[in-house]
Amino acid sequence: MSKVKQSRLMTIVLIVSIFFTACSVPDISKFTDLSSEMTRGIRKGVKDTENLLKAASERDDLYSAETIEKIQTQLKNYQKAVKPTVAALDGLDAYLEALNALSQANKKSGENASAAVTSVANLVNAVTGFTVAGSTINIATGLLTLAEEFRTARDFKKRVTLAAEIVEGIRLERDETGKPLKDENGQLIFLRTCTDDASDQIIEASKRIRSIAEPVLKSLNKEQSKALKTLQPEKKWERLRSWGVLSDSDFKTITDKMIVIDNYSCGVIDFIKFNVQDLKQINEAVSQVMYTSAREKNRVVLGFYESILANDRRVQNELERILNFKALISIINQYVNDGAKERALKTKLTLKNTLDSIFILDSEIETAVMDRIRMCAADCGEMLRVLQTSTDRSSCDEECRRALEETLGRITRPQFDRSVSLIEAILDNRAKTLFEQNQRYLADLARIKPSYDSVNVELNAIKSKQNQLDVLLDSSLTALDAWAETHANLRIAVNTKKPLTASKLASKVREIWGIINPETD
Amino acid sequence: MTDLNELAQEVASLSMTEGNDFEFMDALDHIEEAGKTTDAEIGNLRNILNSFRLKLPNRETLNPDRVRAKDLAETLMLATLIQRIDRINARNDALTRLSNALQTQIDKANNDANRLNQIKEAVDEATKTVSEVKALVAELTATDVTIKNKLNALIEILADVSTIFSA
Repeated sequence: MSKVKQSRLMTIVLIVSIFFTACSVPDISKFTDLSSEMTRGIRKGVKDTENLLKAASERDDLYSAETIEKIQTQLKNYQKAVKPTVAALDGLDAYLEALNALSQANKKSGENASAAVTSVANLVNAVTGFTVAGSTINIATGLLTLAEEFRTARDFKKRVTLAAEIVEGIRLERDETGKPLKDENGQLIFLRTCTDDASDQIIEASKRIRSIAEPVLKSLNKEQSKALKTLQPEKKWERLRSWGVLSDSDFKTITDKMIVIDNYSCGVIDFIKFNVQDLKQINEAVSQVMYTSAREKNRVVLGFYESILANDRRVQNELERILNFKALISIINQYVNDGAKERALKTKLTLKNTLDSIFILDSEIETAVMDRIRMCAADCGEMLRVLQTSTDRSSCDEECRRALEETLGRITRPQFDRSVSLIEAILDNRAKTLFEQNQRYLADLARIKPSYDSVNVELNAIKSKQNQLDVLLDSSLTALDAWAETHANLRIAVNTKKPLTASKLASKVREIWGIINPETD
Repeated sequence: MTDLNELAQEVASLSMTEGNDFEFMDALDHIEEAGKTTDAEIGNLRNILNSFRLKLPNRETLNPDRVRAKDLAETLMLATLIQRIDRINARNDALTRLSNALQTQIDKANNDANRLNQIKEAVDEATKTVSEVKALVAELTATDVTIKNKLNALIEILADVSTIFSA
């Protein structure tokens, strides 16, 4: 084979190997789609919190004019404060879209390169014998140069590793010379220093920086302000010091506080999580007061309805006991007629317990019954004694129980029947009154039910919106964790050439959209 | 500093149906007192006050306390709102720095993707030209000078394709 032909073939082999290397980039289209769905859900949480503040600021029936004005001010502050959060969510989307475009372009380039290599090889064969070989080699050299540039300086792995530090909240472990350290498998070692106290410490440091910077920035003239805008943040402080508007000690405080913030190495995901946690607190505070104030505003309707309901329940309870008493009499008579003395005695004790319950519910009945039985005297035998015996666990021991049964046993059938007929008459009379009361209560309840229901609709709407937003924000927090986990998997996938899995994120995204659209879940 | 656990227990023990006005008045005094000192636990205090308001009986004798409790609830709500927005704002500088750093990576990735698309376009162009050359070569005879010239011209175009890559 001639030297020229060997050179052509070597070039083709090199192109093929480079593009085949490019094909090891994992497919991240699923991750990109899921991330977009997740950020859309979180944006909804941010927007719903804003809508909650708007709704509160329109409730002049619940809040004073002064409070409404303050809520409106905070609504504006909120809209301004969440802009960087929304921008960060957009950034996450843009990042994965760019990565996906890179992945897709890489894949297609690999495929097309393969086709081109075949075509170029065909061309080489076709033009053999013509003096155009130099041109063919030029094409191959152009491809080779470009592909090499991409492979060495702009590769996918590098993008993912650099972005990991920004989005995941991790940082490379480095030696004293700044060189990244690797583990026994040759993989870079990442550390996570964004601890639980990071949020509070970052806030404290940021506030300190602001307290120094704000008066300094206000003191600048137009030219200085303009010049400062073009600088990187870290250079700004140096420039302010060089202008003599920032003292050495203030410069040191600011740089020290910047180091505090940087040392936590919290990522975009961490910051969005911190903010979502604050949104949860805003939702709880505003919704809670709105709910309680709405409840208080409607306390007459609610109180009246609930009070009637409670009283009617008491009336129905007493009526039920009276009906139980009457039912037991029939049962006792049946036992007596059947000669089941033992069973009759035990049921008579149940009858006494039932009557005691009625006495607890209604002392008027107790007085009336006792008076009537006392007047009945010998005709009722020892019934008064039975009724006066307490069957409380604390006051009636074994001996007391035996004595009670003996007393009951000594009451003859005529005495028992006489006593019961007297008691029943009192209870029937009371039942009639209770029944009328019950009818009145039910009529009242029916009358005020529409008002009561409409109040409840309002209260339930407040509560339901609060719960939905709270659950949405909770799910957003766990979805953000799943996002970071998927990105960590991507780092591993890039290094190990394994496929990327995003099933946990998929489940969290489904959860978020199940909350937003429960009927379609 | 007021012990919020004790305060929570005091409110929990209040009964809407049986509690007397003095018990409710005292509890509200204690909540108001706590509001002056427990800045860090504003959320807990808000919850305690909310329980108190939900238990407050509907009696005219307690109306002044109802108004006081509502005012305090609104104050605590606004304080929470201001505090939380303030926290978000305090972290915004750091978040913006990260977003900018991420944007740099996005720009670089997009640049890489564009470059790869350039490769794709160039390869497409080259493949198309090669196909045309192949068709012409098929028609080629050793003595056909016109076809030879056309072929040479196409090969020159093919050579120019390489300039796309270095753009």
